[in-house]
Parts: sequence; C-alpha cells; structure tokens
Amino acid sequence: MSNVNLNETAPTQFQDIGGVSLAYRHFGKEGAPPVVCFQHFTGTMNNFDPNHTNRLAQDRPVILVDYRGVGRSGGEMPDSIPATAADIIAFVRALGLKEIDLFGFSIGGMVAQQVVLDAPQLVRRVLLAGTGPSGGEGMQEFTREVMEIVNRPNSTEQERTLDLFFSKSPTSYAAGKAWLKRIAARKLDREPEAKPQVGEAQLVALAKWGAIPATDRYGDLKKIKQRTLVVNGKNDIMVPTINSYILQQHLPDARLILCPDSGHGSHFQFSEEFAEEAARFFAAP
Amino acid sequence: MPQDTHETAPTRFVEVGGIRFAYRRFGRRGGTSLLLLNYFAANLDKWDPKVTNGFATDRDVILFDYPGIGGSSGETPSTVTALTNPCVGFCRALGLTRVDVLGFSLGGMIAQQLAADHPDVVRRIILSGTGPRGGEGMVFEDLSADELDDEADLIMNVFFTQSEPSKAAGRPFIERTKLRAENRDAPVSKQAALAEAAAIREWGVIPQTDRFAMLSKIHHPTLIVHGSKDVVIIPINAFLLAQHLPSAQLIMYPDASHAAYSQYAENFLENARLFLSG
Repeated sequence: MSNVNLNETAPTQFQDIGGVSLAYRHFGKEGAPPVVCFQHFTGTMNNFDPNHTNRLAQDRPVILVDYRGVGRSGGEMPDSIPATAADIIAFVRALGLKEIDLFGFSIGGMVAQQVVLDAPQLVRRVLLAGTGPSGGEGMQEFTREVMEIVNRPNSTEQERTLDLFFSKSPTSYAAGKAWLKRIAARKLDREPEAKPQVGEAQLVALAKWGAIPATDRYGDLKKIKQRTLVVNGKNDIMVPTINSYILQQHLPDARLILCPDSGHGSHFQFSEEFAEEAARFFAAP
Repeated sequence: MPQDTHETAPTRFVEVGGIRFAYRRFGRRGGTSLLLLNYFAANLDKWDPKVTNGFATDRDVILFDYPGIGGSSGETPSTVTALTNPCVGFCRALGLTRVDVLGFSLGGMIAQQLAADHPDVVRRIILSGTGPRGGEGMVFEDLSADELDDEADLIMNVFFTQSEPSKAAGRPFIERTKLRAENRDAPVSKQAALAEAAAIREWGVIPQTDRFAMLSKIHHPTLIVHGSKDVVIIPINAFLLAQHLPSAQLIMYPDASHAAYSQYAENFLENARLFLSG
C-alpha cells in the first residue's frame, strides 16, 4: 500500500494516561525520532494539513494527538498550558518514547514550549508556527477584530477559520480554501468538533499564558536549548507576528521564517514549501 | 571549456555615462541575470565565493564596482540615490533589461532604491543584512575608513558573532576570499570609503513623515535574510522590512551577525534558489 496518504488512512488510537485516554494517530517511517504534533485553538486532529503530515511521514513517525477533552480524548480540556503539557508528557512516556520532536501551531506552539521546559530531556527539535512566548505582545486576549470573527452570527466554522488564518488577498483566501479541502479528504474516523468547554478552557489558558510576568519577561525562552524553527505570516491577527520575532530573538537556537501576504495559517498557505522546510529542519544533522 | 568561476572570471570593463565600470560575469547564462550589489568599502574580491559560485551553478552572476570603488573609475557618490543611478546605466551598458538583485548591507539599500526608482529594471530582490531608509538604530557612528586597516579583524568582529561556531564559519570565509590569486581588484581608497559611509549615514536618517513609505512602493517579490545578532544593522530592521514591503519573505538565522548569509550559505543558497526560480 502506498504510504503517501497516511494522514487520510491512519486509524485513531487511544492511550491511557492515568484515568483518561487521549485520542491519537501514529503513522510514518520508523527509525527516527517521532514528531508529535499539537493543534490550534479548538482544533482537532482533523485539521492537520496532510501536505505537512504526509511529507514528514516519509522520513519519520508522525504522531497527532488531541488534548484532553478535545475530539474523542476523554475528560475536560485543562484551563492552563502547563496542565495541557503535563498530559502530553504523560502521553509520550506512556507510549514509551525516549526522544521526540515537536510541532505546535498556535496554542499548540505554547504547549510545545511548555513540554520542552518541563521535560527537556525528551525533546530533540521544536517547530513553532503562528505562536508566541508566554507574556508576549498582545497575547492576553484576542483583539476585537478576532472576537468579532469568532462570534460572528450566521457564519460557518469554515468561513470563520478562513478569516482568522488567512489574509484578505484573493491568493491567500484561495489557499485557505484549498487547505479546507485537504483536511476534508480524510473520511475515516473523523473526530467530533470540539465541545464548547474546550474553547472556554483554552481562552482561560491563553489569558494565563499571555499574562506579562513582573520580572524576567522572556526568561523561560533562554532555557530552551533545542534547535527551533519559528514560522509565521506577515500579519497574524491571532498571535501578533512580532511574537514570532521575539521568540527568535530570545530562544538560544532559533531560525525565523516570515511569509508574505499571509496570517496565522501561513504554513497552510505555503503548504508544500513549509513541508519541505520542516522536513529539512528535522532531517538536518 | 570549463565555466568561469569567482576565482577565474576575468575582470572586464564597460564604459557608460563617463564611468568605466569594472565587473566580472560568470555562471550559467540563459535566465535572468543576478546582479550583486556590494557592501561598504568592498570591491569585487570581497564577495564570498561560496555564495557567488553557488549561484553561478544555475544562473548568470554579475559582480561590479560602484563608481570610484576598486577598479571602477569616477568619483564615488555620497548618497544612496546617487549610487543607484549609475547601476541602471551599468545594466543598460551590458544589455540587461531586467535583473534579479542581491544587495548586501549598503548594497541592500541600493537594491531598495533601485526597485523603488526603476521598478522595471528589477525582477526579484534578495536583501541581506540591510535595513529600510530611516530604520532603527541606523546611525553608524562607528563606521570609519580606518576600519579598512585591519580587514580580517573587522570581518571577525562584525560579520560573525563571538561564539565558537560563528567564528569557525568566519575563518574559512576569510580564506575563501583569498582563493582568487591573480587579477585581483584594485583596493578601495579611503576617500571612496568615506563617500560610501556618508551615503549609509544619510540612508539611516529617519524621515520627518511617513517613515517607511518608500517600502510600500516596492512590489517586487523580496527575500530578506538577516543574522539574529547583526551588530551593524540591528535585526529589528529586517522585521520592519518584512512588515512594510508588500511581498517579502524573511529568514532570520540564529547566532549570526552581519554575514549571516555566508555563515548559513548552504541553507541560504537553497532558499534563494527556490525564491528566484519560484
């Protein structure tokens, strides 16, 4: 069987982490550290771009996982990033993995940073997309522009996602529609959409993460020695783009890529280019 | 016949507008030529051969000296605008109607001015270690022609960081620039260097109004590469370029200073090729 569309065919599995089970999918070529992938605000495993996951799976195992309370993962979504990261660390250990790479998008990028901070010995490399540091610029709450889109009446989730993740240019919007089409390709085991509790808890978690500490604002970033790639669009309205720059400047070993005419979902817009860059990043000696 | 390289390409001359330009041209002909715009007080020999030869494997690479620099005749202009106009004449003299440009530092300033004033001459732009007109902290108080007295020291201090990996990239860079043994370019005079220093300082002055308005006029696809610890052009300027240019991609490299594109030459060349062929 061809292994080029594993994202579409890998079954959803479940791993107990002590009283609750997390839904995950595991596919790709064995023999390299797996890349564990974390999803955005209210997103489920359904939303991973097959262009990314299938490309990465050519070289290494890919593990997609839904947070506690998301999709078919049991329990309730935690209302803090550290509690979410603790679940992930327990999950990785329960799978018996000793060394992993991380790929986190948006809130998933925050979870990824926290996993590295709390279990540095587990993590080899970190890929962060559309995210920011704890206590970053304008991260305590979403802007009015974002909340208007989130709460817009008479709109579909797809329409809202397009407005949140892509720029207003026809090119960007068209790329967004292509991404929506790609993530709809999987018919097997689709996860149920996140229940309302997930969004509520994640907003609380985001507010805590975004709170600016009284001292040593970006002190935690210096502790993340792992090689990191930071990617974002030129105008991210969900996590302002300056935060990607701040990540790069404060992380000891991070490369930054900012893409033109794009927003939060730049890695979906430049999907194939991003997949190649990510594959090179994880494969580099 | 083997193709010319950075090390073997003869220095040629072309006269236009009263200036006799020194230039070298090598690499694979056919597509859009890549014109390299040089940094402060630098002649043809100062380019990194790893970068120039890297580009030459699949495109036509052209290095040239600004007026009064190295082997080019004339007086070196002391503003970026005045440095830019002769570049257009140089392109026309070679019969080039449209070029890709790679501008490093001062060369990146000239690349921006060229694209803004002569948009039809430029197809795509690569900006390395540069900043917008009136960028942040672009006062260049330390810039001095005396720095030319110990170039190796200057390169190790400002092109690379003080970390061991960066220094380890800097030493071979210096050795590479010596590999061209014969027909080296004439040195840059202190007078010419002073004129370029004046141009760079004038570029750094913050406009009274509409600080980054010039950038909104540059619609060309642009690739910006910068070192995260650039001590010459502080890195926020690369971010400002990416934010204000209508169509720019930014790559910022860790633990790198002014010559990030040399320190990460393999990755830079890979991304630059994708960018230029896209």
